[in-house]
Amino acid sequence: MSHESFSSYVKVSFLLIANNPSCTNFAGLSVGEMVTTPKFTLLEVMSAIELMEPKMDVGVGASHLKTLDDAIADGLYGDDMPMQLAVMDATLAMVVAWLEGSSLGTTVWTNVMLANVAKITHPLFHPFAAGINLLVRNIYSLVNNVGNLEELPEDFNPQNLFNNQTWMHRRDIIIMMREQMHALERQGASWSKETGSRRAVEICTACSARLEFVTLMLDIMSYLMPPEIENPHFDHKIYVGGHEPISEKDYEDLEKLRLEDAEEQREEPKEDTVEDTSPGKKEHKKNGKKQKRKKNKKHAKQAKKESPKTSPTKPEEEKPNSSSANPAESEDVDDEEEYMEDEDDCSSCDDPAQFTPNFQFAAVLSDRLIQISHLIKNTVILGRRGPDNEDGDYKWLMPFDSKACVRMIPACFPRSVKYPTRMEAAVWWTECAQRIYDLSRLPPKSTKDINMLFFFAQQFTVKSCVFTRSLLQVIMFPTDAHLMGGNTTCAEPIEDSLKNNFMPQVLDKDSPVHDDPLARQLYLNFLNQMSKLAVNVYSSFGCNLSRQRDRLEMALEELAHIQFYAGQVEKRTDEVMIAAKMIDCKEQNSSFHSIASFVFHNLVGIIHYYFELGFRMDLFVPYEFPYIFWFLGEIDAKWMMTTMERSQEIQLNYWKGSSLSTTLNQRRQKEKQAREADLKRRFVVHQFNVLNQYAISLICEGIVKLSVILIRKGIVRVPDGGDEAERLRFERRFEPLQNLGPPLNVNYEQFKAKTRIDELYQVEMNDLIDAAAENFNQAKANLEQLDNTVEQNRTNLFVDTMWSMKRLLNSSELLQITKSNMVACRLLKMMNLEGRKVEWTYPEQLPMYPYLSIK
Amino acid sequence: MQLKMSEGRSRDLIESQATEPAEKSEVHKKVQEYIGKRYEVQLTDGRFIRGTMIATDKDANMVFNKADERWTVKADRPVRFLGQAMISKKYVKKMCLLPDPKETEI
Repeated sequence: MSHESFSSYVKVSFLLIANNPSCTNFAGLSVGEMVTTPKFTLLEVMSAIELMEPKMDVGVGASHLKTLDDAIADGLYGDDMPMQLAVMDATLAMVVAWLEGSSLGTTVWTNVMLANVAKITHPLFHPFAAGINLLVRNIYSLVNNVGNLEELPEDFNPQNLFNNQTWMHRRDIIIMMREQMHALERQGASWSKETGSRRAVEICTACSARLEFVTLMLDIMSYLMPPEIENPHFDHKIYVGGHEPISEKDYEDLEKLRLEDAEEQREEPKEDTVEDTSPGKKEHKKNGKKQKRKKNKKHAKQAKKESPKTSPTKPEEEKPNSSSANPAESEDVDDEEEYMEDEDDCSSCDDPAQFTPNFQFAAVLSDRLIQISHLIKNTVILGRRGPDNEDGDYKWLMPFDSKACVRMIPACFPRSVKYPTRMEAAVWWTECAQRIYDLSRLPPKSTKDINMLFFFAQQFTVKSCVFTRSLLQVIMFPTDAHLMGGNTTCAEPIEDSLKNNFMPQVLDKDSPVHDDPLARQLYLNFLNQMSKLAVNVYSSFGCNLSRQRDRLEMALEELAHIQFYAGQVEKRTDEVMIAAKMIDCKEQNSSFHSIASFVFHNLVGIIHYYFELGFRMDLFVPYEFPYIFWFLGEIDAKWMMTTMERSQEIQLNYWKGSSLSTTLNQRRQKEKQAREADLKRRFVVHQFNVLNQYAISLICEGIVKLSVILIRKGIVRVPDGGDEAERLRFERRFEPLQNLGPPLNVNYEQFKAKTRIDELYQVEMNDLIDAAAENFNQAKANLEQLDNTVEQNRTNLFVDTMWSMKRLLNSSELLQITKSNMVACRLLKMMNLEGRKVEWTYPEQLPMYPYLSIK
Repeated sequence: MQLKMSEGRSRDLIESQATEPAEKSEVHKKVQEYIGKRYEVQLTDGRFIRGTMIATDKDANMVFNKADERWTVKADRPVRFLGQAMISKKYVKKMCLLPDPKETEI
């Protein structure tokens, strides 16, 4: 569109000028009379932005937008290292403000350097700005790809800055930053020599640390994220294995060669597709595979020759991503071992490759990242202080202008942005570094079974930011539903959990059900559904707490539907076992309803987490506690105990029924002892969990009574409306459970009958307080027993990861809660509460179980 | 359809005329000629707003549809899309009628 000068347009300003004859046209309208287009409605225009009104118009006060030249004229390139350090820290603070929920235009892009990287000539700011720009684009791409955009919705409108631009490669940016780091080191050393002052070295080290921090973040992301997510704007490359992707043209040539080979192979005699274990077939298959691998190796070598060389910053003996530390992969023995025997190099040049995160390298780098983040935190004070010691919105620093990128802010009302101080941001980055460290070490260990997988995700996402939540999602499912890009899907941990805890007949090789084709098919259907649900639930952990809760409601319905598939497998199991005369009736089956129990166990677990999220988001008010805690204690905790006890019973029955348990064969004694030890360990954990749940049910009972006491004393007010209003509130709270059927679908009458709550309102106050105290006392006794159990069996319990430790810490937190509530009961009985503040307090670790504080 | 604010009658504030719309006044017809056209408005703070005027009133409070905002008239500079925007007369420095867009050849 060609430019037309303003003067060529027909001016109509006269319409608006008073005392002009044409203006009287407007003045001639009556009050309230509007002249509109035919389809105009006032309702539509309610959301119109009133321009020049500061509360509605973001563009007010942006008459002069600061440019890079303005910043340079203000002294940006001055030889002032404390100021430079302050600029770097402020930039990192802006990234934190963005990740905490504000838009890019009001945070990161307020630094004019970041939108004009190519024009910066300063030796320190140029690499730093390039690095931060790339980091922001990578994080943007990551969050966009995962799709958990709730906290950052406005930024995912088309961003002008990202379109139609060419950017430096990550490798070049990192080289630039490392060169500057070396230069700073030399500079610091020479200044220190000249002046004899340590300060010079400290400041140079501090600046170098910021650069190193950015390089480490970029490197770690490159190891943990697939390249098409990590850097989607660069050069349209395609990943075929190894660390560097290849260009599209090279990929086209590779594809042509592969197609030619495929045609040649089609002319060869076809192999059986059904798995045939006859030695001849195996050998033929092996040879066929060898031929294919050799050809692919040749093609891949050819592609590799033409691809760019790896970065000099990477170690030469760098392992390919496919050799990540995934225990599931190490169990996939046969084909891998054959392959390793045949191939002596280029194990990454296999068939077109799934990206797998390289945890080893990422762990090493993230260890260093933690150290650097602490160094940054300790050196924030070396930067220039803000006016009156306030950082504010950093306008006092040359490159920052809060309106600099007002063009980037979408059409919405202005929002107040909370800018963290540089110290707050530095603390935030140390926590983020710790989370990244956890991500580089723990996900492979968390795939042992489904409980560990979800427990890790739950604990991780509670306090993580949108960046690390998204990173967890991409690490676990980098390209598709395979865990960590490996050969396993969620089906494997699900099956492991089933096998270890519920031992269904269909998974027992000695059982006739195992070989029954229909039972296998039904089981596979069930497993398929369960895996899909597992992936959906896991992906919900990438969202914020509110969205997680919404998605859990959907998961509850799906899990209830999966009961149908579980029921089909159970039915077939019973039929086969009765037909094989192993049992006379289905109840005699030692693993009767094992799969259904497994599904129910997970259903109860998800419900528990659903309520936990409600407490974390502060959704429940104290006058709702009677029915909320009744459900958590009477239904949730008790059914969780039931499923755990059932699991223990099944495992014990299975062990007793197995030939290994009664064998006298000397050669098998070692195996028998190992299995017994393993079983003993499991039972200790089961016992721990059962006692824990029992204690929780007692605590919930106590809280119900305490809530009634507070209502009776007038400390907690219930809204008007009596039972009817309470019924409506009850039904609203338990609406997501409506479709689940008994025992989880509860109604108000059930609550009234089971708790006998009307009696609790009549009983003597002191008796009620004593009853509540007794509940807490019993819970305390159980938890103390639990504590001793932990101490006595510390070597037996699965404390191999910090996440196992956290589960143990939860029980000590519960002990504190019970003790606090016992004290509160005593005070309620003895003390006059007038003038005292009595309220429920929610512990940070376990907000689900509050304690009463009286101040 | 003419919309009228209530004149003291105890009815809804904004009511549509149940009967046939009254004959529009000459003034109304004259102002109507400016509705539905595209304008460029320069605000007192220097911004340029382009949009199609869809409503106005006695005090020349104007509502624009498909409005965009720019800080310079140069065509190569970025533009921020606003959607619907309302501009009060007191903030208008200049206002120009934009020519009709030329037909593009496909």
